[in-house]
Amino acid sequence: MGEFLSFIGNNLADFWSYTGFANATPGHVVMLLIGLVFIYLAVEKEFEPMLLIPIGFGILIGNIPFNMDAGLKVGIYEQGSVLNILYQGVTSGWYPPLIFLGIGAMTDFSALISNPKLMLIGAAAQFGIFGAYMIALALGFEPSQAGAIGIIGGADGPTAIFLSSKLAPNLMGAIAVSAYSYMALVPVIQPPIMRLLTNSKERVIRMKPPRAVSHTEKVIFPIIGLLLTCFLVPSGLPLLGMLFFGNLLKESGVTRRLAETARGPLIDVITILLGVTVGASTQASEFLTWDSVLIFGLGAFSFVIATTSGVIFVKIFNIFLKKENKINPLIGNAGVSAVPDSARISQVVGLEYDPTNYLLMHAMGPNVSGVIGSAVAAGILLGFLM
Amino acid sequence: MNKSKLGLFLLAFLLMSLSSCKQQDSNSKILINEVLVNNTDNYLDEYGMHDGWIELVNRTYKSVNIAGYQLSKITAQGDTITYVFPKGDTRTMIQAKQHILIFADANPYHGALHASFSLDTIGSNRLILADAGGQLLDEVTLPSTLGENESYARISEKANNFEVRGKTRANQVTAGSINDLKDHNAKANNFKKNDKDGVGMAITAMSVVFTGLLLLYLIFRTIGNLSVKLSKRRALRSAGLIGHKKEEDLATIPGEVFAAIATALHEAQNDVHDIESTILTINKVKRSYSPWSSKIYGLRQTPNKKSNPYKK
Repeated sequence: MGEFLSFIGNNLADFWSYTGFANATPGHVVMLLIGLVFIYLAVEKEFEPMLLIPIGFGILIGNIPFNMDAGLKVGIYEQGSVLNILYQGVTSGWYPPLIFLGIGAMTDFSALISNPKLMLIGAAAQFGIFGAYMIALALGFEPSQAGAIGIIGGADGPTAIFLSSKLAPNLMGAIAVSAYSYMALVPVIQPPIMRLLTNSKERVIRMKPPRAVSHTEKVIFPIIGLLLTCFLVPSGLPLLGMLFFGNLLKESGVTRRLAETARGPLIDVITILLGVTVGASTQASEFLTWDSVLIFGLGAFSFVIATTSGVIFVKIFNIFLKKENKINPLIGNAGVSAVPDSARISQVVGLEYDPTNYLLMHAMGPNVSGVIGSAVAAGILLGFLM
Repeated sequence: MNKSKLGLFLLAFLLMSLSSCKQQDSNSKILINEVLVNNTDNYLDEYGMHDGWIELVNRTYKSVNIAGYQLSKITAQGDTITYVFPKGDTRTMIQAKQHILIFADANPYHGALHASFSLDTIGSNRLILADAGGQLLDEVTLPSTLGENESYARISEKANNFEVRGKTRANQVTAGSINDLKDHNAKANNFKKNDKDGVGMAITAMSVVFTGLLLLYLIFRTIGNLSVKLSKRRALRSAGLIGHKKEEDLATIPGEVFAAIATALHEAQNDVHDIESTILTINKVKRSYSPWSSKIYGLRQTPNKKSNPYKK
């Protein structure tokens, strides 16, 4: 009888050693709290819920403590586990181009085509990437790591994941979470900078209404966009190719079903997989490092530079424009390619100063050109540093 | 007429395509990369023997299985011994951009990577590699002057020229690895060395980003201007106003004005919205329920806006 009780006792002790309670560390608790904060921000504050819910829950999944030596094949970093297989889409870099396909299929480039000079604002905002790159170098990061960190300033989650998976796979979790966090916090980061850099006269500039764009122009745009940007930066092909392909599906008018799949079910599926696996990749042992703290700091800094450079660029640009063609500098922040959040910020801040001045359609121009600009910048970093 | 023009265009395009295509290089996939004839102190095979070896390289970006491929040695006397790589052995798979070593020990029973011939340490050897269909892939004649533990190797995997290796420390034999050993992180290291603060990268990259988007801007400004002109011209033509002395003035009127006039004319001519019927009949539509026709399975829920996070 005593032997049997001892057997039961050993079994229970064995079982206990496998539970999360026995394997929990303070790091796990911290990460679980971060995951809960993400979910709270998404549900209660509605900050980027489509991203923060999958990432937040992914953080919970990735930080359930378990006995790593048991060979249970449950962890995301254990080869052959379900999460590991799903994570291949991130590490091999094929989720981000599929997300770009969907983005292309849902983006209307009309605002940009009708007023193409707005493209230059999207280019100016990419200073955020290279400002963060320089600071990261100064903080002691390697050039390839600095490039991956800098891309957070592009405010484009898929691009950040794509580039970091190639240049600095070990920092990818921190970079992805940082990029998505700041994209969600765009309404908090950008307005004070926009108010600080503009005066009351500039904030009420009324822009000419965009002209109607013909179907032919809309069809030509993705074709010329692809040829031009990818001949210039072939390393940006996976992202730019898919972005423009998705847009052609939308604008051609003859592939409605394909466009609807790309911007609907396909992007939804990939967003779920990408969000959950990126969240789960933030295992406490990998994520809670001094580098992650620095990356978060650099991420915030890159958003500030990107917003500043966008707004200041418009102000400088206005010096050379005729009075009737002036651009409201409040759309300068939209060069940060957090689509459509940063364009919405332009609209909201603009309405504060003139309730009848609708800037959203104008802000969408730099916003979508920011997507192209950040993908081009990613291609350049990849070409130079890989 | 149109069809013949199209045919001519297609023919010209085909000719251009053909002229721009390079002749298929039969040596472009699997090549003999390095050969060591007299092995006394070099790479050991899995039996611990020092055999001469032949290194093959896969220059493509995909795996290639060399099962069925033929590796032949032609002696100075003109005798040919051919070894055919066996099928069904995973070791015959060469991964993308990778190398494998074939031991020339005249003992194919030691495994798939042991040739049925050995290399002559005296006199020259001529090696021929052909694919499973017998098509020549590569041919190398080894110099008879190769010393002990000296190899005859391509200068680099991309090169067609060979050199003798193993005579100096700086020019070593590279069994199973890249001939042109270089810094594989050269680009990043170059930036680390010459652009410590990142200014060079920022200037270069921003110039490229601006150039790309500037070109796109210029192209679409031109296309936009053309499109506006064309649409105005089309509108004028349809109104029969081409050549009218006020054509220029009309061309400056925005499209919205034409749209408003056209709508007003349409409404006036078709008596739209004169006196509406005041009788509204609503018939109840009955449909038998079926899960196949149920809308609740096909529709998303109406978004429920809770609050505006951007509102102060």
